[in-house]
Amino acid sequence: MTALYRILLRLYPAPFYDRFARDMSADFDDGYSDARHKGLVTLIEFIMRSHGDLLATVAAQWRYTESFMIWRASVSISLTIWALVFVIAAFEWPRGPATLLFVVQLSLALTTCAALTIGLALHSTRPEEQRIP
Amino acid sequence: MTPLTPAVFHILLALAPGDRHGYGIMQDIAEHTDGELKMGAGTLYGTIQRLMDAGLVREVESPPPETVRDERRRHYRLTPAGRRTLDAEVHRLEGLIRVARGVQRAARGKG
Repeated sequence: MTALYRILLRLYPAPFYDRFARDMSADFDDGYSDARHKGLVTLIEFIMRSHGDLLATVAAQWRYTESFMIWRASVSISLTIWALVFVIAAFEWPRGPATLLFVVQLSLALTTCAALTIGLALHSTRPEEQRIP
Repeated sequence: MTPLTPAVFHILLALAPGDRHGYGIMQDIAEHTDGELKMGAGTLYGTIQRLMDAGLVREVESPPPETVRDERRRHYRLTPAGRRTLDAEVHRLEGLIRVARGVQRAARGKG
């Protein structure tokens, strides 16, 4: 079980892994040992909690990385350009085939969804950090 | 003043008596909350990282290790800014409790 935990620690971004993986691994070893002495239920609860926390915080740590910000900005720009191309095409070819109009409508709907998702992601940045004075 | 999150508050509180390593902080938090709050290592170190970036906690040289595992561990200490933040939060909570008690007394008086 400790081997699995160490493998999963690799999922963290490199800076976080380099800084804290050693301590986290030692903490897991101690927690595992303590929980094992308290019985099977405590041990299972500890394993579930530790792994659940790890997976949840992996996602959170990746959100703070520069590569994720770049990826998010790239997707946002790509979607905007894609939508603009379709809008221009619709104006340039107003009596075009039905498929084009369908694609235009679909692209607008998808762009709205993407914009909403990106907007929500940008608004929900680091609540813990914002509260630290 | 913006209220601290439970994770930040409990970590600062655990570090108030002196230096601790991560597992010691986790144990203190579980003890302070009667086992209601069991903080995972990912949450703990993610919060410690942000506290260090904010200058409220700093890493200190570890004392001589008692076990092999201790050799792997880093210790953390409250900075003066961290202690002031904790004091301010405790003061804020005391004020809240005073208000709540007053409201409860008034409500009982009416009932």
